[in-house]
Amino acid sequence: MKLYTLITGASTGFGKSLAIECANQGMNLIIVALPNSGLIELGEFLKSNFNIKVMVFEMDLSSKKNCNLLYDEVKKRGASVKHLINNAGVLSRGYFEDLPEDYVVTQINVNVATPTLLTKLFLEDFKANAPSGILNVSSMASFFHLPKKQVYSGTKAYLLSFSKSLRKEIKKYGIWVSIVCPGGMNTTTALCLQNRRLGWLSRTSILDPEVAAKETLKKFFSKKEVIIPGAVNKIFMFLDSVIPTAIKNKLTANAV
Amino acid sequence: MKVLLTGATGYIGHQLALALAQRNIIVHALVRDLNSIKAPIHENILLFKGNICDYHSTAKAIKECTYVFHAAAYTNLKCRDVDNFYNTNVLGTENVLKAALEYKIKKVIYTSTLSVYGPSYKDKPITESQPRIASYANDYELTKSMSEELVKRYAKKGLYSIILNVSKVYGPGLSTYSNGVNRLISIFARKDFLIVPNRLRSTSNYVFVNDVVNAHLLAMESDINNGQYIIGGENASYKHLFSLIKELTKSNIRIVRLHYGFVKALFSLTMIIQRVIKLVPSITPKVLDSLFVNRISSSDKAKKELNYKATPLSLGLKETIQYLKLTS
Repeated sequence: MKLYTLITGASTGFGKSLAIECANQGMNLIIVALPNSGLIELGEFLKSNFNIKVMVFEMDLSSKKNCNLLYDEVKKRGASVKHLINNAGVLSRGYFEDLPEDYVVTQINVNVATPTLLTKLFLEDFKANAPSGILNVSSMASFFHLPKKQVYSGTKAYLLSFSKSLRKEIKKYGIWVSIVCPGGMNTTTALCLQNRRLGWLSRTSILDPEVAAKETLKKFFSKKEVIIPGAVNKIFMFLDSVIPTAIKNKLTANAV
Repeated sequence: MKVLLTGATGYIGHQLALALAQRNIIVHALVRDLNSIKAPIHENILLFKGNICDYHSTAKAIKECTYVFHAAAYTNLKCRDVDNFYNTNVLGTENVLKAALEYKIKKVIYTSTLSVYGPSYKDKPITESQPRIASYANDYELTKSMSEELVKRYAKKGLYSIILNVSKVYGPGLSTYSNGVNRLISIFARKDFLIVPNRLRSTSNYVFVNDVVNAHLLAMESDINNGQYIIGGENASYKHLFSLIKELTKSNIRIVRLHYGFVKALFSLTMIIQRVIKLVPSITPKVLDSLFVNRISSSDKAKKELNYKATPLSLGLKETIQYLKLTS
C-alpha cells in the first residue's frame, strides 16, 4: 500500500509551501483545499515536476460529512496516511461584535473540529504506519492575545493544548504530534501588503512561507513538540516569558 | 471606433497608441501631462489630461469608447515606497475597471508582466497554469498580482477582460525603465568593456515590442472574452544574448565577469551611502536579483488561442539595432 502525507488547505500560502517542500522530499501527497483555489493547478505542477503520487480533493472541510467523505475516498483509492498536516484554517477578520454568526461557527469548525476529526479518522493509519507524525498548524496568536483575533486565537490555543496532550497519549504507538506556531507570513497579497507597510522591527519577524515551511518540516521530522519558525519570533517568545504581564498588556493594547 | 489607452507615455503604450492610430482607431490617451515629450503624436490620438488614480478623469476619457487598453503601471523598482506601486497599479487599475464596467466597455486588455508567475521551476517553462512557488520578490510583482486579482474579480461582475503577461520587452520605442535590452545594445555599440556578475547562464524570455503590440490587437479582435496569456518570444541566457548582440553590433566589447555575491555586496554598500547622502540609488541588490532570476516561459497558449506569432530574437535584435542607430 502506498503511503501518503495528507495536507489540508494546500492550495495557497503556508499549506502550498509545505506541499512543495514535502514533494521536494519525495513524499506522496493527498492535498485538500476549497474548490477554485488553484489546487488543481498545484496538483498538476507537483505531478509533472516531482516523482511522486498526488491525490487532489477539492472540498470544503468545514463539515463532519465532508471529513468523512475525504476519509472514505482516500480509503477507496487504496491509500494509507503516514503523516497528517492540519493546515487549513479560517483567519481572523475583525471585531467580535462585527463578525457574522456563521463566520464564527465556520471558523471554529475548520480550525478546531476538522483537525480533531481528521486526526481521529486516520488514527488507525498512523498506528499501522508508525513511526508516523501529525503536524498541527497553530499560530503565535495562541500565545499572544490580540484584539480582532479573539476566536482565531482561541481556536489556535485549542490546537496547542490538544496536540500537547495527544502527544503524550499516542506516543506509545510510535506516533508523534508536533505543533507549529508561525508568526506573520507573506501569504495572501493582502497580508503581503500589510506586512510591507509594517515598521522596521515588526517587519524583521515576517517570514516568506517557503522559508517557514522548510524550517518547520525539518523540525517536524526531528519530532520537536512546539515549532516556532524564524529567529526573531523565537526572541519574541523569549521576551514574552520574561516581560511582566502589565507591560505586555500595555504593548498589545496599541495593536488595535 | 474609439478606445481608451492608459500608459501612452510608457514604452509599450506609446507603440500601441501609434499602431492603433494607424489602423484608423481613435485613441483616447489618458496622460498626466499633455505636453509630455513621451506622448504619442498622430491625428487619431486624442490626449486626455488625467490620471488613473483619479476616477473622474478616467471616466471622462472612457466615454464613447468600445475597448480599453490598460497599459499604465508604476514600474520603478528602485522606489522604496510601496504606496507608489499600490496607488497606480492597484487603485488605478480599480478605477479603470470600475469605469469600464460603468460605461459598458466591450473588453479590457490589461498589460501585465510575466514576473507575477515568479521564477521558472528548474528548466520548465512558465505557463499560465503554473502556481507561483516563491514569494513576491518586490513591490512591483506584488501590486501587479493584486491588480490581476482585481481584473478577475471584475470579470465575475461581468466585465470582459484579457490579461497579457509580457516577458522582457525590447525593440524600437521610447527609452524607459522597461527596456533594458535596448540600453544593453547601446552599451555594446559604444563601450569598450562591460562588467557583469558571473551568472550569465540565467535565462529569461525576450519579446519584440511589435509582437507585444500585435498581441494586444489580437486580444481585442479575438472572440475570447476572458483569458490570460503569456506573451513572450525566445528564451535566451545572458551568455547567448550577449554573443548575439556582440555579433550583430560588430562590437569589440570585452566582458569582464565578477563574482555575483561581490557585485551584490558592492551595490548594497553603494545603496547605503546613497541613502545616507539622500541620493536615489542606482541599482539596488533587489533589482540585481530580479535581473538574474530564471524566467523561461512558453507562449503556446497565446499562439494556439490568439494566433499569436513571435519574432525570432536575432531578427528582432537586428531591427532594434537599426532603429537605435537611427535615433542616437
